Amino acid sequence: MPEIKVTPLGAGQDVGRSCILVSIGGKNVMLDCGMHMGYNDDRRFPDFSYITQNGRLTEFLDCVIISHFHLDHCGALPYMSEMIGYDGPIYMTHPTKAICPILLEDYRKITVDKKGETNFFTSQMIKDCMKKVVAVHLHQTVQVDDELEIKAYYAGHVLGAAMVLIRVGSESVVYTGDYNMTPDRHLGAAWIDKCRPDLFISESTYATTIRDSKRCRERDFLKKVHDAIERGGKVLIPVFALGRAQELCILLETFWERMNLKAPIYFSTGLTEKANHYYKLFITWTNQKIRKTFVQRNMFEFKHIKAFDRTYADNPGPMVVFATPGMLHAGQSLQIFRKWAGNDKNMVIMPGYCVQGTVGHKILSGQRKLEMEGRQTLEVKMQVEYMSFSAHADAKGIMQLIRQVEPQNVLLVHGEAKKMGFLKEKIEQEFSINCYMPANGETASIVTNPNIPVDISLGLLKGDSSLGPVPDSKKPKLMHGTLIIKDNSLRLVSPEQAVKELGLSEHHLRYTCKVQIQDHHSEQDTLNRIYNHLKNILKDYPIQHLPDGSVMVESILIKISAMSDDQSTKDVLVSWTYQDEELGSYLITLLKKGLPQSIAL
Amino acid sequence: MESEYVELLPRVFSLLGDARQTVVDDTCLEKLLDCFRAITENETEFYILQRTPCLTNVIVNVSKQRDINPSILSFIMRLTGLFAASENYFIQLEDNGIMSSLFGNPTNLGTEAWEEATVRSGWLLGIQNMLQHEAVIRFLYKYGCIDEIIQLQKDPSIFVASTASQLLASILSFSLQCSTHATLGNSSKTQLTNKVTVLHSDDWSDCICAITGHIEDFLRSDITSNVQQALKLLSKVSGTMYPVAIIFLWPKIEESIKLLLKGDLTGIGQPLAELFLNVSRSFPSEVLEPTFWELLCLLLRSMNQIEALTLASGILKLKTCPQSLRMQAVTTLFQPLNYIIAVTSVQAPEDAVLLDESSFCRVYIENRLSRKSACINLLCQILSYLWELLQMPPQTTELPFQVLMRSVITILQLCIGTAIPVTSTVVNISRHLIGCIKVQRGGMDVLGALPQWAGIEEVNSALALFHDYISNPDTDCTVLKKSLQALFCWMSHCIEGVNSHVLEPKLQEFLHGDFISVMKKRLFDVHWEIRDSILEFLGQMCFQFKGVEHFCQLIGSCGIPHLVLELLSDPESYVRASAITALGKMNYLSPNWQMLPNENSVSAMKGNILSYLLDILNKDTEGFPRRAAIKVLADWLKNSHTLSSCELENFVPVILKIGSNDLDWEVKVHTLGLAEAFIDHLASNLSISPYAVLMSNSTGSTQVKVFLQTLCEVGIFTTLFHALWDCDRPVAQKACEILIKLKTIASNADNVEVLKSNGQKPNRESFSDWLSYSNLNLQNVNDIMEILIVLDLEIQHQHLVRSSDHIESSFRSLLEDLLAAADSEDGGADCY
Repeated sequence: MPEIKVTPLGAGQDVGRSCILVSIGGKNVMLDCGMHMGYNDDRRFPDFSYITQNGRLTEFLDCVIISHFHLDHCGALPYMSEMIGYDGPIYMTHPTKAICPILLEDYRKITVDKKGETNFFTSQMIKDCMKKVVAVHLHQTVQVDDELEIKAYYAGHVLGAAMVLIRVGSESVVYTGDYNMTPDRHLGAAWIDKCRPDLFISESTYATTIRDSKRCRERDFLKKVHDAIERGGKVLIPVFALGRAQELCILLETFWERMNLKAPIYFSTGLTEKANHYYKLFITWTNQKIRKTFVQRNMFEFKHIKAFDRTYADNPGPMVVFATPGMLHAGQSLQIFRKWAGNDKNMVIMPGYCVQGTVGHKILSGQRKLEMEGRQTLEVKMQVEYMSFSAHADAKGIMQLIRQVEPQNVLLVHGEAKKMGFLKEKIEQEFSINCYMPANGETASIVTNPNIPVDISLGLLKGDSSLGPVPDSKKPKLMHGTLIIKDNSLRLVSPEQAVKELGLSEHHLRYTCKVQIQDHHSEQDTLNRIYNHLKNILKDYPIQHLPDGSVMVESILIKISAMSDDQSTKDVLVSWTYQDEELGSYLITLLKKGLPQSIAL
Repeated sequence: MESEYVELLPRVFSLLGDARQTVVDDTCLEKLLDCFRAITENETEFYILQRTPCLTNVIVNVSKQRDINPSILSFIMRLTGLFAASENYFIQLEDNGIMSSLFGNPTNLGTEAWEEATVRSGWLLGIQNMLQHEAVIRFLYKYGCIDEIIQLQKDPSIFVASTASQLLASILSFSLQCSTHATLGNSSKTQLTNKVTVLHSDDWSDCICAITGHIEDFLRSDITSNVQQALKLLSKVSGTMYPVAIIFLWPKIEESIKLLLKGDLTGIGQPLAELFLNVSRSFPSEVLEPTFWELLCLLLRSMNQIEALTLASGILKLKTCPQSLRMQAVTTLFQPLNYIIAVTSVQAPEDAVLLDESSFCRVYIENRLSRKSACINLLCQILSYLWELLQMPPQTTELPFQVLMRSVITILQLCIGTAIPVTSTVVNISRHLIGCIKVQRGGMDVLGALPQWAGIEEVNSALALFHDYISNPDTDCTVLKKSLQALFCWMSHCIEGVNSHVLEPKLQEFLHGDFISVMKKRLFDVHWEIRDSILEFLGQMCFQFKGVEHFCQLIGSCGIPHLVLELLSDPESYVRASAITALGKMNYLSPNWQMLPNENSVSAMKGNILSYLLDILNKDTEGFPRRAAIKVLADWLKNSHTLSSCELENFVPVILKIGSNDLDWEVKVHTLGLAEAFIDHLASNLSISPYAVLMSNSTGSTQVKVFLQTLCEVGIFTTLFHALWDCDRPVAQKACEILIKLKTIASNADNVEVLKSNGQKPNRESFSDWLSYSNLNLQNVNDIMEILIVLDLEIQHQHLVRSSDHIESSFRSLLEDLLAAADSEDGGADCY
């Protein structure tokens, strides 16, 4: 039986990095190629040697598909293509291809900033990697080779995020990447066809969570910022270059406008321009509201948000600053944090997750005395807030998408084991399908039904449809023919055509069965009664009474063999060919029941 | 281990030993192990354990608990293994029953725990860590661990299965090492034979017997996966710290291997090849018995074509092996290529000696090449092996290069439809290959590695092929890039190779054909990837062949530089950056251009390039072009002949001002590079060594002051002090390094007195205030000298070199994070 095999090298019962190998119909596809930001050495990248067995990745993989630009989904791509030497095709959407290098550069900067970072890719490598990427449009079917095709669907989550349908012959897999089932400030909700794949690989970050409304979180965020500003404090929001930063900017911009606030908002390192550029370029990827209002006012052209200069940090009075990097690893966000940390009027809002070791992680875990270089201690008096704005589907959203897609099997990735286990049970109960959750390095094998395409000869089709009633499109119809396997193709033809094509001589095979019936009439009369009986029952069939006295229905011959000792018992011989197997069986059953008394001679 | 860590560790370990606590992040435990591994490299296990009794406490504690978090249990097992590498500690733990509790029968750990892959992995890695003394071997045998490890080779987790196999190989090799005191030494055959004699299998320990027994059983098994497993394990033995172990084992397994070679190789060909190759790689060929090579020969003959290719390529990579085997490998690898030459040539190939005439082979190749996917896979595989072989030092790869070149060119011609198929077979192959990017990519890689073996005929064919690929609008972006890279290699060979007198005219002919017009056309291709690759190629070419007169004349007069100039306003920032870099490299050609009478020469244009670059540096919204612009300017300054002194004086202050205020950290670093180049240039003009030549006389002192005054006027110090406090470490570090260099020079000047300083040391926050408070001016030489002396540049440099990383990756930081995570209320993991 054909199988689809899935081996996560990352995202198997964890959320560290996504890298999932899928083997389907003899093709090997890698879904995402993420980096684990918790490590500073080779452990941050997936270990491909487990799957290639010393061979070259280019020969092993048929393609790589990247779902979106977050580094835990694409961060290992330049490593894979430029350092390991994968030369094959890489697919991602147009916005992802445009934004990926910015995020990769952003992270490269952090690694260069740190001492001891080894084996990391260069700017040139990022560019060379991006040149290998084939950008795809939503709903465009891309033929990777003669057998493998992929199609991208809108996933929400971040600009350019896509789910992907992978098809090889009759087998198919959907990989969701990260997705969001509720629209947010700038993006819409995920959507996909009812494609009924053999396997649906879904993220499960919030597998057991029914998230509170996004509005509440936004309100909470605005209130905190407003309170800090009101008391004359400064607010630092560390962000990564693109993504959540834009959502929060729209939020603050609208709020500032509505409340007529005067405190300045700054965005560091010229990223607003860059973001504007991409959001304008890919406006069709944003949500309906942004698209509609775009003509009157571009949501990404901010009136209140200005470019930041490092000297502004010392300006008196309240202000809000968006600064990179997002985990307070180094750079501008860390420098501003150091300046402002000592004042309890100030506030830092961490809008996303921070890896161990970073200043962001430390302050979120409640540490208030931080060792800085030169053994100096930085006392953190400013208010520290954490607000997750990550845009993932919650448990309800995941179930909703499964209902929409109607898969044969589900496989969960990108989540915590316990939560996944809970969701797995729920999916199995509600949809009565198998749900898998392999750990990293474990392989889930999903058996699929073989579906072998066969060409049917026109003659056979025509002949078959001319005989019976008008075919009902909703009912399956049984057809008989001869299957010819030749030159890697399968064809179903009529036996006559097969004999002719293959130059074979024809042999007819008949099956004969004896049925005893009780009838006190003469042999000829009994046959007449059988003839009349069949005429009554098989109204659509041509029934003939042959000169030798036997009765014929299609290829079926009925005659009485000989008298038995008992005059009233007749041995009826029924003979048929394999083509009329069904009718033959029916007639035998009918005769076994005996002839009704009412039948005329 | 520092005492402050010793203070924090008991709290951390009491946390880890507490089943109620959860650990937020597995990476913390991995890093904690890294720290201990680093500590055990510097201090003895005994000393560490004596100072931190909490280590033993946690090990004892965890070994008694059954409801511990799997990640923590796994961590503790690996940690225990690390310390149990000390025999004394191992014995102590064994006496207390801790070893048997953690590493004895896995059921001791509880079924639920053992179901977790992380626990099984921790168990294996713990044993791996302690495998430093014989007591471990005895323990493993005594508690039946060997059987368990054997079982784990079939674990559903590839990580666990692979670790188990590796561990078995290590145990076997270590046990054999313990059983003999022999070492490989000079690897002479006599010595090794003696060792094999000494280490008779009667002397083998129970552990060795158990593992070899398993290997022998599996080698004789009817189940393919068992045979595969045994072969993989044997392969790993030759890759251990004691590879000679495989020599000891060989007599035991040789018969089984022979039997395998005589039977059906389906599914086991690849691991068998891997085993033979691993053994061959580990020892000089003369050490191995002739029968070993005979078996390898037999294997190569018996394998199916595809698997034989892998083996053949492996054999050709061996440093030493019998010549006959090498020839057989070459024949195997080249069979399909010869076939292609044979079917595409009108005449019989001259090099047909290599073509194995066995009809079986021919039919097999014919059959594979007749099916599309099989044909593509076969060719890709061969090309990939050939490329790997060509990357090796030439003396190790004696290949029939003429055949190789002809076949690769033919394949690439078939892929693009320029080969004329003469037979129906070729028509069929051509149908499979036409437009096949996979084969094109592999083919171009190989072709790029071949020019040194090319004669006139091959150069002609290759250049025509490159032309076809580069001019074809359907050529894939990656293939085009590889074509350009390959062409560059062939051009270098034609110009710089030993036969350049013959080949260079051919290249000239090619370049003066319509090549330039193709380049011009592709410079404006709709795909940015192609525009970028063409620009990169042009830049590389101009730089490499800057001394070749006819080339300079061609480029200078063909109009390409003007088109490159147009690409400075390309919508794609990568392309703009490449255009800038290309122009930067083209500028090295300028002396030749200036001699050209042609109106289109760039000499007229050259003066404008600087202003173009300044404009980009000033206005481009993307970082890549600005980085490229400042890098080109810095390069020009380093090679000062490309800029006149007038240009230097006019432009350097402007560049410094714009560059140091840039938002991009790399632009700032390159701006500092430019400043440094300017300093070096000025210093060399004034005969001042920036690398601290002591000058005591007054002339020297005056010169230094003149030198510093010029730097002040240009704005070097304003730039450097601005950058010194930059939030990006590489910027601040670079500025600090340059300032230290200048401080050394300044210290040679007379009359340096600290007049205005109030004794305070300014820092990042207070520097500007300190300047105004002390009334110091960055345009005044005396003030500059004072600032340089007052600032603790050396200490600051030390901090910058250590940077944020020393905090982030420090043991103390990690311990604090572990403690803080436990105290923190919100333990829920999040992500992007």
